Amino acid sequence: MREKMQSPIAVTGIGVVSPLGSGYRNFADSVLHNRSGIKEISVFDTTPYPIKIAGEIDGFEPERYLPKKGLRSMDRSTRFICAAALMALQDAQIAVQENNKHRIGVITGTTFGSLKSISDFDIESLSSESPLWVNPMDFPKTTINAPSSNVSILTGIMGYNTTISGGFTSSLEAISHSIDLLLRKRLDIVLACSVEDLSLQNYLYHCALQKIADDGLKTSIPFAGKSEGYLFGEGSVVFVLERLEDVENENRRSYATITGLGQGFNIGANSSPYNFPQKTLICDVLKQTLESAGMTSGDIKMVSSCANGWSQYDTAEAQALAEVFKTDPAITAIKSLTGETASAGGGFSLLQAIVSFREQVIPPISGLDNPLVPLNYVINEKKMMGVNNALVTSSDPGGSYMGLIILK
Amino acid sequence: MSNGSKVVITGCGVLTTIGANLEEFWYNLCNGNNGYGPLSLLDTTKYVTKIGGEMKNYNPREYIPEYAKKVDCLGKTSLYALSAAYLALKDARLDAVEITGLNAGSAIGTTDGEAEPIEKMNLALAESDRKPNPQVVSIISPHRIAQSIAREFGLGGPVCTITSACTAGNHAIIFAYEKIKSGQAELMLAGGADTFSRKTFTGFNRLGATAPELCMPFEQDRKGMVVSEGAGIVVMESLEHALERKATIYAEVVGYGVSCDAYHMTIPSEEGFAMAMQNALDDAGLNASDIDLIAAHGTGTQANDMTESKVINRIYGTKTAVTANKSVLGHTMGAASALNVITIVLAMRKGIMPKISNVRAIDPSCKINVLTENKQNRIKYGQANGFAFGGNNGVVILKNVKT
Repeated sequence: MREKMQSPIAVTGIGVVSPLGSGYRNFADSVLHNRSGIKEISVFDTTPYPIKIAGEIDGFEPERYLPKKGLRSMDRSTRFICAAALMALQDAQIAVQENNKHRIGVITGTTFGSLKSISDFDIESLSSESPLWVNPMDFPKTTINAPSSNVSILTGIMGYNTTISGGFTSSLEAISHSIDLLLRKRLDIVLACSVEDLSLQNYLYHCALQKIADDGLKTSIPFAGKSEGYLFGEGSVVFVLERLEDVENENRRSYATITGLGQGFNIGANSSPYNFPQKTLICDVLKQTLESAGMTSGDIKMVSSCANGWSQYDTAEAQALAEVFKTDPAITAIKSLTGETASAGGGFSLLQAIVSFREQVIPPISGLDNPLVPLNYVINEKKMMGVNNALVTSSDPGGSYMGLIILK
Repeated sequence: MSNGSKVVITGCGVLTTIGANLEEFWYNLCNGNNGYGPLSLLDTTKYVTKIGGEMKNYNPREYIPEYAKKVDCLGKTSLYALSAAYLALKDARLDAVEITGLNAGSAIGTTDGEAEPIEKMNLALAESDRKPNPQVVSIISPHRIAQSIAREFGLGGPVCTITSACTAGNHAIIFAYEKIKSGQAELMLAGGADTFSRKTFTGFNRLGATAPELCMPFEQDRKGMVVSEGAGIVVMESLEHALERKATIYAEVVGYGVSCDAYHMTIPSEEGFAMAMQNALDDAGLNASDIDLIAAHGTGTQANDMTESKVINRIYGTKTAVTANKSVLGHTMGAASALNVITIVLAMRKGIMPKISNVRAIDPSCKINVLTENKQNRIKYGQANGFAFGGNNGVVILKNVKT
């Protein structure tokens, strides 16, 4: 999107289920008080594995948000996303009705839906005397689009429903697709959702991507450059997106407006499982993002970075930020508090930027003391300052890199 | 609506159980040569259904240059997608080198993603091995499918794997259409891919939705669907880009429709299907009577075929011809709707509407124009349907640009 984005998109509602608490207020309070959501994993036995901690959601009471009927058949991902979606609709004061249900869509970023549901069903068929002894009710949960589809079934949203599996860039890919459909007026409202859940299977996948020493991983601090891996996290963030002109015409509230988006893919052959976005690509995407917002690097006040502590993942981004931004925007990152929430990662970074807008504070990068590339990081203490714009970044170790600019 | 560039299809690639080149695919489709039979991929002793579609003798080396360097980092679904992408580029007379560095990307739909390595992980866990091979586990993610294509050809634009189950191929084509229309890309490799999934075979078997011998869409004695595999990829370009490189243009994507049933995970709804089809006609600015041929979702199950035919009858009446390639392909899951798009493109190229095989007596309650014989006919507008679990629907309308 080298050209300027056609017109701005407003964020009019937020729903969140996270290791830092559920609902905007709880989430924001944890961020403001620098409370970490990293804790001992309880959803499966970690004895055989090197990493014992993660950004796990505890104390989540689905009954508080979801109707009792059907709750038992919902897996962890589905509960998270459905709760966040209902919160977001309520927050935006949107009622799904006969006259608008065809103009609202659900676009979800999630890499596996629920890998546990997929795996458990298969394991049950392998472990039983007959493969057909599986519970047929468990089969629909094994499609990757099950969490997203359940949002529609629960809310009655009929305009569109699709799922994007984009690894760590899933959230921003979903937002990008949402923007395309809103700008072309195919839809009037989109629930741009993202979800990631913690399970043995998903944890095994994330461990397989890293090189973790047997003595494990105790922290993963963005930009610290110390770690060969990252801590995993789970959660769901849902944003209600609408065209700004519609929101202004109706005199409704918006938390932020998206004015720029950039995306690119790292050129790297199919000869290794990794294809980390390199500095050149990241610089190119950042410039593209600025151009699409009609801004220059000197305009940006704050960066909510995707850095997660994995040194080879963070280094390229730090170098690119140093090259593109001469005037030192304040740089922060949320993943020391939540863990790498992967499919939901971009959603959490965007939410962190919105928290900064609303609370007039830039939260610090928790735990960072000796960064690997010198930049204007927010360290130790939150910065009590109001900012009116932010850049949000998202990067996938398989090659995708995305940037998003929001204005207050 | 903004008046972005027109989007055209300039190449198709198929990797299917009825052929891994367009001529073979078309021949077997028109001659009713079924691409499924007794399964060798898994032991079916304890299953009710014994048949499925599998790519026999698939050798990635035949399609993918320097395959040996890639073995460790690509799952089988990525290999299928990549093979079909090479075939599509060849059909579009594009050299892999030519598209490197273009503002180009990939959008691939899949239902089960990398089913094979996930099954290996599950097998280890089922056998109480708590540390499945990390090399296997590291390639289970579906997002690597679209990425593998971008990496192979050096595409720097939008890259996206869509996982809206059995309509994912159409959703990927729709995603690509929007990226080209809005100027974010000038060329996209888009379509769908899936490998045979034990989990999906088991699930449909358990639901009693699988056919014992034949897939017979819209036939009165139809007994269900056949789980299969394959890939279908198209080259999509902005009209300007296609004209500039003097490409042969096969079809224009003139509109699409999407909807969600918002009803049930597995039971289809007439309202959702109808909305997607009407939505597509409105987007294309066409009347239902303009559509000459519909490549139906046509799974051969009672529920789908009943719902789909009712809606087609209501909107299109009995004139528009209806074909269903699942009769010979089986259900290729994420590839299915992309293979419907390719079927429409080929029908336009050949001037033939391909029949639905295995139909002896049309279900009298399916009041639509079921093609039981191949029919020579110029096709001006064709439509590819895609419906899925979760009620995720996507319909694409194509225009024949040959005059």
